[in-house]
Amino acid sequence: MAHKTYQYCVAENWGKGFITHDDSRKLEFRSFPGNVWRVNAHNQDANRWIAGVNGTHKTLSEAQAIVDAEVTQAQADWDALPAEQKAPSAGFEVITRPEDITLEE
Amino acid sequence: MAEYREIQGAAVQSLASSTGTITGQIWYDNANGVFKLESFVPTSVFASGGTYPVTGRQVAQATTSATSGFAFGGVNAQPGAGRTNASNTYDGTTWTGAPTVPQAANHAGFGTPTAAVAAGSNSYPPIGTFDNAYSWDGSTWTTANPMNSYGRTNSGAFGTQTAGIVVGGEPAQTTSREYDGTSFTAGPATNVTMSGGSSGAGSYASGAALAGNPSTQFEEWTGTAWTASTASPTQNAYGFSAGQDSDNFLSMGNLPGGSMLWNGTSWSTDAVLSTVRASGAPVGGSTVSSALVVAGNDPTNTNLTEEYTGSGPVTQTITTS
Repeated sequence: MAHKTYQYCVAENWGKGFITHDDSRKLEFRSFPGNVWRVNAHNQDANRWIAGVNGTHKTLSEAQAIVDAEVTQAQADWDALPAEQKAPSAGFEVITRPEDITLEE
Repeated sequence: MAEYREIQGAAVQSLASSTGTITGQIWYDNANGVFKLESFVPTSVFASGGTYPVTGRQVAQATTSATSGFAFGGVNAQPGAGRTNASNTYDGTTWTGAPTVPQAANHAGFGTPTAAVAAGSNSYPPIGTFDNAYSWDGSTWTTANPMNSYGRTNSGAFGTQTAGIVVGGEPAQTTSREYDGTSFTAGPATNVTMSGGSSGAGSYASGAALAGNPSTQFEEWTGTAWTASTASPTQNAYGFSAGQDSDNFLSMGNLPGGSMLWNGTSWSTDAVLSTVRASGAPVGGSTVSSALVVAGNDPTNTNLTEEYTGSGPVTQTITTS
């Protein structure tokens, strides 16, 4: 059975105190669309952090489904943009079409 | 119980500032009435900050540290929904609404929370760049002289309200503008083309800028000229930057592998944002010791703030909590 590097949860970032400097020194955090958070697997500090932020554990496939739904919506929003907003020469930043995200185990 | 004098060999000093203190020393800040500790941060980190009141991207900043922030303007969350004129101050915990910028746009911003400039950029709808500029005195925005036919958007900017630099932007060119508190004048040309998503940091005397999307080119500002420097190992299109001079420059934002720190000689990998994001804005007067990342696109627009604390000596306030 493959050894998991990461675990996933859904938690709403309320701002100050959600991830502290101490958390950040101990753990590797990464957020994804849909309030999906990735932290270290098999780690007591990570488990305590998830509990502390009232996070809901998600399996890899559950987390992937949440992210996919958000990215699909973002891609649809991008597709609906006027052509002038996709053109850098028009005085806008280059807004690239959101790419699919594949979560790591 | 042992007293501090017995442990440390000296009484707690009453001082007006941390000047002359050493790592591990506790001292009384008589200017603010609090005890402080001279500590050392071994590793650079990001931590969550107060949620920004606006969800969007390209919010300009005139921030001086992670506890003294000022952000304004930007692009609203919904595609095609236009720009925001919101401005907000940050005290290290909470963003608080401030008077709105006269023109809703994703400005280039520089200065400090009490003396800032919102310069040019674009508005939508209708589409188009503009050269209007606005000056902030800590309580009100007033109209400033325009940007002398700059006509670019998503530019980098740094410096103070009386000595600022605007560089790069869309459409890509090598031109720059200097601001002396009254007028914008044409500045020296950069060596490479600086495009949209450029980000700069530093002061008028010494600064630096990344060349924007899709370049990794990096230039240092000497106070009188731009000089080509070592390219960043990784592209940070539409990212954020902070730094006090050309030897201390931090590139943050769209870098999943970690922020990149320039020390005047080489680039090194630094702390990783928990929410990696593009479409940021220059952080203005921040340093590589303390800075803010506000809003952006991950690829959905976000209102999250992250506070950066660089490694090295730091003064901490002692509290009972």
